[in-house]
Amino acid sequence: MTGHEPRREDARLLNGGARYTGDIRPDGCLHAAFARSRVASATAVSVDVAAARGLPGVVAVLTAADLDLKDIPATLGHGRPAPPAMTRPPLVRDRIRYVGEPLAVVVATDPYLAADAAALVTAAYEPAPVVATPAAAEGGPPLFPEAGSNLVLPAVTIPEGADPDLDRWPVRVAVELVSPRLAPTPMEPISFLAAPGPDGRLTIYCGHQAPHRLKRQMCDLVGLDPAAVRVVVPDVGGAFGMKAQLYPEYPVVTACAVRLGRPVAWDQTRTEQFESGTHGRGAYERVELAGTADGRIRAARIEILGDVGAYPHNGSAVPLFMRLMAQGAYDIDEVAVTTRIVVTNRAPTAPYRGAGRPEAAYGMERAVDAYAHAAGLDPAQVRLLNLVRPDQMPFRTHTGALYDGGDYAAALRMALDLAGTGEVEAWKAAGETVGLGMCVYVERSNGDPAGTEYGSVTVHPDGTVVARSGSSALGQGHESVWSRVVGDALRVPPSTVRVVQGDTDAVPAGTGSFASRSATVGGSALHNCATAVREQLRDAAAKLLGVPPGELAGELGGLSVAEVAAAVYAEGGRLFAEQEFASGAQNFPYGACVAVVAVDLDTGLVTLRRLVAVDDCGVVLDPLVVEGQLEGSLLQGVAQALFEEVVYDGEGRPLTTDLATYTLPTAPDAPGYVTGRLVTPAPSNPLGVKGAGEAGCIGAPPAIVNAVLDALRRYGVTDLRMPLTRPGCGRPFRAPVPPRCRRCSR
Amino acid sequence: MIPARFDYLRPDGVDEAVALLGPGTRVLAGGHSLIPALKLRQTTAARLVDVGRLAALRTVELDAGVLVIGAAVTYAELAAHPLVRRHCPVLARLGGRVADPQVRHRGTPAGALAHADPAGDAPAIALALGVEVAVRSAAGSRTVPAGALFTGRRETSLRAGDLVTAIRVPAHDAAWYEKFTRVSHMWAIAGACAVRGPSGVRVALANVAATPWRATGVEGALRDGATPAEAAALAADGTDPPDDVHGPAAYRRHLARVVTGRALARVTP
Ligand SMILES: Cc1cc2nc3c(=O)[nH]c(=O)nc-3n(C[C@H](O)[C@H](O)[C@H](O)COP(=O)(O)OP(=O)(O)OC[C@H]3O[C@@H](n4cnc5c(N)ncnc54)[C@H](O)[C@@H]3O)c2cc1C
Repeated sequence: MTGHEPRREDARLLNGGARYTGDIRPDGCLHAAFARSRVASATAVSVDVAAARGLPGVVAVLTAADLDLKDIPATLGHGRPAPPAMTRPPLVRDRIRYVGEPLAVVVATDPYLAADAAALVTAAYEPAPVVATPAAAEGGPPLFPEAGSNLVLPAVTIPEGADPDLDRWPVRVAVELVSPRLAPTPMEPISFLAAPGPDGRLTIYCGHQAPHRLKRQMCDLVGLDPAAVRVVVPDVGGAFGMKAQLYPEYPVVTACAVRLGRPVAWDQTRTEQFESGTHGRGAYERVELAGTADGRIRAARIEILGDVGAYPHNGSAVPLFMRLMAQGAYDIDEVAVTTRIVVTNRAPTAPYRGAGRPEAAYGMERAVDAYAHAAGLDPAQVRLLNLVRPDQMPFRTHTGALYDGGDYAAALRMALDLAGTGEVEAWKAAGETVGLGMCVYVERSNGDPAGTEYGSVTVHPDGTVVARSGSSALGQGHESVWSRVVGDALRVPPSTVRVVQGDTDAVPAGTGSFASRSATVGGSALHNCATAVREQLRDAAAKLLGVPPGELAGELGGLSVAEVAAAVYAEGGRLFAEQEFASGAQNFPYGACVAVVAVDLDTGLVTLRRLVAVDDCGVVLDPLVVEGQLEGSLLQGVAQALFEEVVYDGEGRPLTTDLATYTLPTAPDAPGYVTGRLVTPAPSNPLGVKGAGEAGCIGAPPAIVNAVLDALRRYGVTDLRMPLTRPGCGRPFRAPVPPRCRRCSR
Repeated sequence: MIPARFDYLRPDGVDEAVALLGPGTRVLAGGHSLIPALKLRQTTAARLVDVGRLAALRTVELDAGVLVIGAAVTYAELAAHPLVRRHCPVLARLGGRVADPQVRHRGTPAGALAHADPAGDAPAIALALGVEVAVRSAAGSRTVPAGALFTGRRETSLRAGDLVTAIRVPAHDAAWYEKFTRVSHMWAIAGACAVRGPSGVRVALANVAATPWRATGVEGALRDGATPAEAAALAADGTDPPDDVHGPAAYRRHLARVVTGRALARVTP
């Protein structure tokens, strides 16, 4: 397929031509603001809205009692039920479970008045004990007394009954690790607009990752007729998983619009995003490895503790994704993974770019380094000895994943070559505090193998092409890639293909853009449709010219697409194909990262001298888009390793509530990347593509942490906690630095 | 992230601006400290008087060896200005690095001094340089030395009707500001500015106390013949650094010594 062309949507996005939900404000639009809890745990809550109601310009102030909304169900992801008592009322009914939980909604004639009024809402309550950490959750006071405990998933081991005996091996290591909570922080926080139209229908605008799902959820929770609801996804300023969640604000704002018969908009503030937008990660893990003295790892015992915050929703799937990938890239005889999931008095979690794979890769890759050091072997050698080999593919892991191909060792060798290991040794010899670390990762994309995606391709009578996809873009460049996939299959210039997405009226079905599934299922659906329409065109051209289709000279026997299309439609025919494609399998991109770091012993600052990433995401549809995905994801991985963490104090109060307290790197902090690519086509879809969106944030953190440990090992440092540059996490200081910040809980 | 209501005024000249000032009224320069504070509702104002475009506040000149920087000159302009680059490279360098490009193109060092954030870079640098701020009010003109400006956390000796018109930077031989931060756009976790001038070395620190902090112990040790490393070891004496998500107080004390040592190494021969 074709090479480096600018993305079609960039001119619009970069020149102020984009249209985000916040740009859409119909006449008479009202503005919602939420009054939120300032404590993490309380019972007997009663909310007083009298003062807010009295403010001029305020149209309505509503509490749970005023709005008769269904609870948001508790789930373990993929439709699996969680304890039914853990459902979530969209507005607090009698119990507060985290700081930032919505107590009441204010609807006013402008957003300033709405914010003023929300500030006047007060709550009376009885303070309740706070479950501030996942460690305190088990056996702690239950957030949902009817559920009996804080366990969303009690300890479950896979494979069932597995109990490897690690003690019979001469080399045994154990690491205990934390993947701290992170805030996804897209440039555009959430914006939601529900607008009743004169025709009695309701149009919802929202930068959402799954518009058809959002439509079903609103119909269900608010009690609306699906025929009377349309969801539109305008331009979106990034999502990273945060915009797939069912936020309680959505049914509340929708219900306000229906009740008031006027458009109502809610624009999440940055502080709301940090406090009550979903968080990612939040995983605690213990990895034990055992094996031979010459470096062959034979057995692994892994324990996962997932913190999903106050309400189990999409986030509960993440520890299960982590479990699926816990074996990493290695062929290990015996593996047992025990997973527990708990609720805590913190904001709910959700999948965040990588979702379970960064956590899994971090655990295994830290443990493999520990194993190499315990055995006195080179970490690269230990990896090369244990990696799943190409001749073992497809390879079934003990956790149930079916790795679908690739040469893991080749990726590591390529990454090490690109990193220039010789130069690192020279720096070390010269006395510099530098280190090299590596990671080999396998990830899975296309989360639910049975999940479908809708696509259709139409060639109009004038020869123009319309492609419709149920997977809509959040900034990734679907317009560019879809038009190319369709243009290539139809043998027409991509510029003649118009892409329609993000509108439940214009696209009849859809699953959404998440789990690195869009190219796999959305792209394949369009490819298949375009291929079918090409056959229709060729058949029609052959008929027009009176030759068998196989004997057409050139693509259409010298006819243009428009000529053929005009003839087809003139005869009452049409050129159209649609499909809901399922790949039936997950696919497993993989790769290797190597980090070279320098550590400033006086301050703890870590500088990346080199960050190498070699990735194999199968066939590359658009090199520029894929490189952009890799580099953006790498920076999020760097951020996780070095800078970012959502911090709560011991009372469950968030301390990172804006961009001044949450350390987010920006463009000047990005290291130069060195990237390499291998291509092993995926067997499970016609394009041969695998997920390309998440590799960097999976591979970078373990490579960076392993590199810093390599630099500091000579000072006796054997364990570090992410983010490395927060005091108490890094502590590679010459001077005695207290290990913990007094205000932080951990 | 939505401020409470205020009125916005943009006078055409300094006299008019001064006439508009008074209780409940705030000067607006680049707005990169004031607007966020209003949006977070940490502060309110009945009205804002925007002085950012007043021509009389947008000049840079040399007055008998003293560099006079107008109060509405932005960081970006400071970084590019030949007089600043020549006579006060430490401020020119700050102008090219502080925060991010948006902030640098609107924010002003004078606004930073009036804002008096103890974590700010410009206040510590101003204190070490020994600048004076030129002030106009209904009562007339006066100058306030940096040492008498900072009275508390985000508090200054300026009064409600005061307009800062310029920063006056005295001549010096060498100056260096060493800032420790994890990512480029963030505030100093700790910072130190060392200035060598006719009367010796002056050192001021950012984010180790309620105000920008003059490290007189370090200065005295140097006068008494201590080496820069020996003097830097005293940098945290008397400080009371914040204890927050970016670092415990003890870490900041440690950093104060590190950045002071690094800054001194740049200005001591
Ligand atoms: C994202 C971001 C990152 C930042 N990072 C840093 C950093 O790392 N280091 C740092 O030092 N700063 C940082 N800043 C702050 C920035 O430097 C300040 O905005 C700027 O220095 C203040 O100047 P201003 O012109 O924006 O002032 P304004 O915000 O307009 O005003 C600030 C205060 O000073 C008063 N004031 C302004 N001008 C005058 C005057 N002429 N007379 C009397 N009073 C006046 C105002 O009334 C107000 O109280 C950051 C800001 C942002 C938004």
